[in-house]
Amino acid sequence: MINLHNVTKIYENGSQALKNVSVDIEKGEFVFIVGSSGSGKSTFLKMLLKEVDPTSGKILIDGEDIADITRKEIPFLRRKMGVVFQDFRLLPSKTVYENIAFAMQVVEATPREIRRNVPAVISMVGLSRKARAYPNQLSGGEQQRVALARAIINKPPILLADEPTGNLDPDTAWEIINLLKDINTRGTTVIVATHAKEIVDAMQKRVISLKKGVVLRDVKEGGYSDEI
Amino acid sequence: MKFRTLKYHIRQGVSGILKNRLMSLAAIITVMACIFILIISLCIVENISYVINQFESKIGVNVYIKDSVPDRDVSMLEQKFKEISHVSEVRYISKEMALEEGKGSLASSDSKLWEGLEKDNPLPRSFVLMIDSSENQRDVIAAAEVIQKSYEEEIVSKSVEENFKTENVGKSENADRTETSENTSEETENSSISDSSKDASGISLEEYKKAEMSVIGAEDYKYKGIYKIQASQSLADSLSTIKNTIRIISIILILVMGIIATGIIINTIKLTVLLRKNEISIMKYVGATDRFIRGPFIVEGLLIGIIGSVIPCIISWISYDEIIGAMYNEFSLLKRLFEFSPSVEVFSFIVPIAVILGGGLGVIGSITSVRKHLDV
Ligand SMILES: Nc1ncnc2c1ncn2[C@@H]1O[C@H](COP(=O)(O)OP(=O)(O)OP(=O)(O)O)[C@@H](O)[C@H]1O
Ligand SMILES: [Mg+2]
Repeated sequence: MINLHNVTKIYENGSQALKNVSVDIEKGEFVFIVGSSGSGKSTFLKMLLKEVDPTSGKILIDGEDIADITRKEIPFLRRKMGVVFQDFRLLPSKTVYENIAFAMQVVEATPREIRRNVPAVISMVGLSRKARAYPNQLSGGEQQRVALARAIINKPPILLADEPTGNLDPDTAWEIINLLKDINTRGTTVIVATHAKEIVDAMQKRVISLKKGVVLRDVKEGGYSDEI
Repeated sequence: MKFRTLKYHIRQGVSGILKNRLMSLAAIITVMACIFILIISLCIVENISYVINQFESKIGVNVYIKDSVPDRDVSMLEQKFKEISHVSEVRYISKEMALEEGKGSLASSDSKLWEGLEKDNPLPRSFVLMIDSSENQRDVIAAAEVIQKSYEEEIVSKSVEENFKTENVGKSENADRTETSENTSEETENSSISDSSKDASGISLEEYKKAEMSVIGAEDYKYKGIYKIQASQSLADSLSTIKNTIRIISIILILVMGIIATGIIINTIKLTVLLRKNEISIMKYVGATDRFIRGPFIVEGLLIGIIGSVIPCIISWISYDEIIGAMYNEFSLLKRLFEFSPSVEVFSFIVPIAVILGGGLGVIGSITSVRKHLDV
């Protein structure tokens, strides 16, 4: 589903974010990308979104080389992927319901579809009672659930999460990780970039660890840093 | 584009204005200021050309006719003048009318003088050829001169013909009979015209004409019909110069105001876009197309532009009538010299320009402001 061949990214200022990265991710996998700050995790995710282009190498999504995708077609690539960030990125002027419905309006869904799907997703992330609340009336964990609901509302086959628990306390972090696990068991390929050692160790999922842009380790079912 | 998307864009655009009230107000006021300046300038420009047109309608080419020209020829000449291109109207001024006009303009108290003139009117009949636009005056004068010349030639050839006939009649009469009275000579004259172009001595009319013309020359007959063609060339020239200058000024004005307004609008809308940079980047992450992202901003820019141009249009239309009215009141002499352009005429020209410019600038402003943020 996702294939990287010898991908290297050197930013315009000369900093080398990724070096010769080759990774294949199958449909339905749950993958952690770990590594210390500056190791290239965010760059990895941004390249899948075609937010940045690789300096060399090839990235295939659904067998399609994303280098061939024109600027105009980028929105359609992004509709295959839901994204959540550490800082939630909700619209403060919209309610929970509106923030999620917004993602459907953007892809020009019918009002009927919106009315049917949005409450279902809100109840799935457990926020039915807060549907009319504004983001500043919610806790960090609740805000991240809204962001998650928004990311999956259009049923993308891939979900990318860049440090989704970075701003959350451990208990709340687990709630989010469990939601990600649920989403994964429903068939969505989930890729999580994280520092959260305990979570990665406990989950025993595939772990790709990066160090200064190089893939140090890629294990099927492992912890944050098994041997070391 | 789907209809519900359009509806969404309009709703979002309107709510965008309402949510960022302060910024929208600033943008609207900016547009209003620019459009106001534009409207005032266009009003001035429009009135200057309106007044020029009034003067222009008063300038014409005067053609004076000799008293000896028969009425039949006068109406023939009138027809010819009417056929000149760029002549919008031909006014005939009879001897009596000319006298009346003279009385009016001189306003002389010496009524005896006028009484005397009325008995033996020395003023000629004339035509005034009205010209559609001052720059065509030269062409009209040239055409009138052609008519003048051909009419003179006609007079010449007619009188030569007459001479030919009388000479001819004289010859044949001498040969056949003794002296005859005037009456009989006229009778024979008629018959000689009708049945032969050749006279007894064998010279044709054409040959005779040629010979005669070469001797007398057209000069002798000059100014026998139309004796003067008169027009104020310098007035016409300066009017058309002013008109061209104004045309250029108004184009420059629209362009300059357009550029200034676009700059200000772009900067104002940029700020509202900046406030929603976050929203744009989220839209990009959930897969919104550029067109979709731009939509609400275009609606917003269009609304700002239209509101910002319609308001000054309404205000200036209302105050235009007030100001013109006040001017007439204050300077009552003004109305005798010229009239200001009526507001309907001015604003039927200005309103479309202002609204299209305002709306267009709003849209251009939004597109330019959003474009930078679309590259994520
Ligand atoms: N836009 C950019 N321009 C230039 N250099 C960049 C840019 N983004 C990232 N980098 C550099 O690329 C390297 C990798 O950055 P990246 O953000 O991918 O790391 P990360 O693993 O996500 O770090 P963190 O855990 O702190 O989020 C770093 O050295 C960073 O300075
Ligand atoms: Mg990062």
